[in-house]
Amino acid sequence: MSDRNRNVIGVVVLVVAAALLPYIVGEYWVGIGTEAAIFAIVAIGLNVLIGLGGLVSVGHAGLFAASAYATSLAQQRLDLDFVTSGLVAITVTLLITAVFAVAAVRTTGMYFLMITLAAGMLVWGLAHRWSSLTGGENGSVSGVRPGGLTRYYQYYWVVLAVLVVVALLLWAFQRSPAGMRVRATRDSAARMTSLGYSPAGQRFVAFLVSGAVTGVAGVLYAGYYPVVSPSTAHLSMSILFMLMVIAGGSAVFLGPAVGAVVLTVLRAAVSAETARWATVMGVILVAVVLFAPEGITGTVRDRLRPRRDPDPPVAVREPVTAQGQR
Amino acid sequence: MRARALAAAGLLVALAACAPTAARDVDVNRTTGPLTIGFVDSLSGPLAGAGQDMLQGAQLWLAEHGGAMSGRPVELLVEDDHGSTETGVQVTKRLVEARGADLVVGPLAGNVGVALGRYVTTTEVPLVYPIPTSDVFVHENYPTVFPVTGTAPQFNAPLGDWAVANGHKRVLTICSDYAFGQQVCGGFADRFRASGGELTAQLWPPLGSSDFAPFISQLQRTPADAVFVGLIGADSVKFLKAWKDFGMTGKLTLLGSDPGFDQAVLRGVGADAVGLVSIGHFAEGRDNPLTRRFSDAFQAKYKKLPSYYAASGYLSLDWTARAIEANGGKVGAAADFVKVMRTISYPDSVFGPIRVDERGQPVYTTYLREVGRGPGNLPWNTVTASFPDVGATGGLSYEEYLARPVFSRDYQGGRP
Repeated sequence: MSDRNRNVIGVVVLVVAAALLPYIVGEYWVGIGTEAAIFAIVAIGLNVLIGLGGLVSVGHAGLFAASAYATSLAQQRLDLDFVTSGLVAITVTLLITAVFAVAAVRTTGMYFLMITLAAGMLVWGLAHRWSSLTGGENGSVSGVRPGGLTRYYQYYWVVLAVLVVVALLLWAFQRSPAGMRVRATRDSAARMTSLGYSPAGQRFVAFLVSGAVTGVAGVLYAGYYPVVSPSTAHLSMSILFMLMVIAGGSAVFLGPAVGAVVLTVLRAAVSAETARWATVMGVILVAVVLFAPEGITGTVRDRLRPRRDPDPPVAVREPVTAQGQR
Repeated sequence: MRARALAAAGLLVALAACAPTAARDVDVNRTTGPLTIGFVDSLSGPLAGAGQDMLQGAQLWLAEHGGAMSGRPVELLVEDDHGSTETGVQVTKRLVEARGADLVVGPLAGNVGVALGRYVTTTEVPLVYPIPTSDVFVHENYPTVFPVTGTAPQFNAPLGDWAVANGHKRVLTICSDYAFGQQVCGGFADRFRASGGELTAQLWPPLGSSDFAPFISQLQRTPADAVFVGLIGADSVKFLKAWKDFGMTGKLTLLGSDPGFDQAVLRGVGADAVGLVSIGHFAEGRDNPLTRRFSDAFQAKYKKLPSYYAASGYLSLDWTARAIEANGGKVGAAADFVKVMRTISYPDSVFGPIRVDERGQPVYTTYLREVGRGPGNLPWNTVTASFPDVGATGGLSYEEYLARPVFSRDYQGGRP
């Protein structure tokens, strides 16, 4: 059996196991599972920038919250149903992402990080201050779910199904010419320029894809929580998303999803035991960085495949030269 | 292959049709056995001091009553929301869905409260809300939430009338810029302007401000007879310190809001606080046997005077216990339990007389307070005048009140 088939079977088994969760645990843990799946969507979306594009964004909570607010407001003010309000919200998020991206894509590294940070904080500030629209600290009413799928376990399945679809689409994107160009821009922007591609253009595409996926997650989040509040847009949320990607492993396609599940479940479990859960989480994250610098999935993969001597650890990334033969 | 996939899909749909059973069902009609009370509080973040008081007030009540309600031992499950809406919902979900709480007492932070109010209506568990709520709760009137100490604007409204009657015609307000602070300010501003006063400016320092110097210099440039202080906890302490450092003491009258010069603040200010005037629904130095006994007991146990947060924690458990007693020892259905809570009234309590009006909102006596020297020469609030029967609407009928928007930074009372 080839490696690839084994991977596919492994993922299918995982998805089926995840779908059976409501038969094993109670409402609370299904809720945590729902949250984990929503964050997993954000994390694999964010990884389009971090892993594929080599660009670290710390403004994704802004996009996530913008989508959640847009969903909530479309439902409350325009009286739309879940699906329509979700489509409106994703469109709004795409527009906001485009504004973010125009400002950010000409830069990389620290500058990119600072611009996304500022953009994310801008959304937080608006959520906080524009209280006639957002309700300020009181937040905006949400929690509307698709008709007939309002029970907690049904909604969990909805979220899980969306996660699977988004993951398949992103997998396809990553292998498409557009995805290849994003990857090539990460590896050598200069060579892309010499081949006639605009690096900023490729980053713009990556940002839009990432933003759209984050928007989808934001819609699901608005359905999950009873209220969308400024803390959804807060910097700590952006950092949490980034940590999910790093802890899970950005070099493996589903690594960030694993990171999201691990961090969400861990946070729920640790905070139930101790008030100092933030400290415990910090220690765990330091341990991950020290002992699993490739992230959880990256390290596990390296352990499972000891035959890596001919290739450097980055071998999963395709060589840049492949791009020229398009 | 395709047939097999179809079969698998069919199997999944069939499985989905049989819903999973609830993992844990609490029998709400039990009249014996332990009573599990979830307690959502802010024990870290800018409101930690007040949060600690609220918890200690509740623990004092339990200690005085043998840790039981109607003969049922109480298990108090304390959760910290860090003052964050999201964490607040998460910990409450855990209390309700995983830890089997019969009812939830909390929270402290106004922003968390609004979210919890919405969340608990989707559950079968009543919420006993100890601290003055956002007036969203008056508008929504959730059938499974009981606001033990009324709303944030409620107790600041009488000061608006009083200020004009006592010659403070032009007032500037400085209030914490978050849901609760905006509501505190709104209650005052509404009645103040209705009585013919003029608001010369409204300053909004964010909650947790570290430096009040810019606000004081801004305030010095604005003409006013008095300053209404709607700051919370540590912010109010910092403001009073800056006020003194800028030599403003005695130059302008300070009018304290309900939380502004509360005991939680006075502790941090010390002797300088003596003489400060404020409005409030609780006065730890009120000359009354119930309040005195509570103040003494709290001081004996925790080596500090009780704030209104402490009194709220105490009263919330007392009110809950009376409701459980009246309900034959059970919590029962959430909406029924709240109906029972609404039938209870107090001829006198640590706060004073309390009754519940036709909409289920409590009506309190509110006090004009002046800081004097209490036991051990510590500053405490004494009563100089009383305003009986202060309800949620600031004197309006519910019809008029509900036609107006919820108090916010953009809506500070009057005709919208």
